[in-house]
Amino acid sequence: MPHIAEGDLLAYLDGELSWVRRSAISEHLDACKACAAELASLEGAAALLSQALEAIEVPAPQLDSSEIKDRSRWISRFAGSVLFKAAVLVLTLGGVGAAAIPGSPVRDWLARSLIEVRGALGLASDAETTALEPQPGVAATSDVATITVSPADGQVVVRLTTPAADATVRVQLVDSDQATVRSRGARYRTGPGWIEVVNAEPGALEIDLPRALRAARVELNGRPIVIKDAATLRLLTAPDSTGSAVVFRVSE
Amino acid sequence: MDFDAAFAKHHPSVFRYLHRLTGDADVAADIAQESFVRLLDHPVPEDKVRAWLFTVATNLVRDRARTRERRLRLLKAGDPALGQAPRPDEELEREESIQRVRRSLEQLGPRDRQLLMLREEGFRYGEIAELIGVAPGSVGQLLARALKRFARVYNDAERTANDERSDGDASHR
Repeated sequence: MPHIAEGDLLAYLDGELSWVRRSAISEHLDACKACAAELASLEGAAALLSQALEAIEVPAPQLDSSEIKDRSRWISRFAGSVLFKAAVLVLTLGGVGAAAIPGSPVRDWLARSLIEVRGALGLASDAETTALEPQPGVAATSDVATITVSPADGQVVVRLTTPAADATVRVQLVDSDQATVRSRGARYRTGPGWIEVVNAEPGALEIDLPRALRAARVELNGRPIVIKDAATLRLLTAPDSTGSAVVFRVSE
Repeated sequence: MDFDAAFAKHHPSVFRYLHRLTGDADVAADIAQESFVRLLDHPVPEDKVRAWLFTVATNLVRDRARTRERRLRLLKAGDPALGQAPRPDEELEREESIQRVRRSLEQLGPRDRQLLMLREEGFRYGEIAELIGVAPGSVGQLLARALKRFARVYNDAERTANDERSDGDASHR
């Protein structure tokens, strides 16, 4: 008797067959040990895959749909600001850092951000990777990591996502053409004209914004908290707080 | 289309699918978000949302993979054992097991991975055919082959790991 094709056996297993075809295969399986064994093998492979995938599963990030809408609004503001305009990402590490350690999640995270943004910008350089090369014998410390980004269309957004409650954030205007963030223990995402700082540790977090920017803002967990207003910065939670530098505590 | 409801309903499965496809939680999170951003800009009928999201997500993975391949050399690192503090055996074994799964999946090739992950997400063969761009009648065969290939690669890797572990134990006696 002709055997059942493995594709049909899997379709039988997955309930994809018509009632008529299913009945015919069922009858065949009762009489054919080889096909029954093949079905068992497919069933085993399917179970193995499901178990393997369970082993590597991680929970989805807890997001609100409003964060997607914010991202969409911001992207549409930059529409036309093509990824391949002049935007240069420079990634530096201040001193000894956990990011210098091979296998460090911070290192991998920074490397990925670097690769993805530089890839998107069509840029490639080995210079920025030297800072990521392993430093044998260096002890891991949660030291300051610095990241800079150029404006896109004269604008910069810095997003602080779930920083430590007792972090103090200093935002200042500087005579530079790039925005810089310095923080301890944080992970970074970047794109043209924006930096996201995730899980900055307690302590000082410093943000330098170019004085010549047309617009800039700092967001805390999706909410604007500092905006550049002409030649000054304005802390939105304390309208009287304006100047070339503002400071706020995350917990306030 | 109720975007908020669609997001709440589909984001976990889109993320899970992307994480399984890419092996990278950060990339999966980013692409998942990007997929929903695109949904905001291009609303689709309620009954098409899931398939639409998975199509967009799959295409974004493909686009990103092309860029990533060109830059992969920048991620070359030295000996990963250098400078790391020793970890408990249990943790190491779990990590090795996770890596074994990831490497086995990587050996499948992108289309086979997509096929298997879509099946795991409960898509019917007809939907899978449309998402992947293959003839509906061929889905069963493609899936069966991919499943068997995964099982073979994974079991070989596990056998090798067990052999290495026994050799290590023997040399310590």
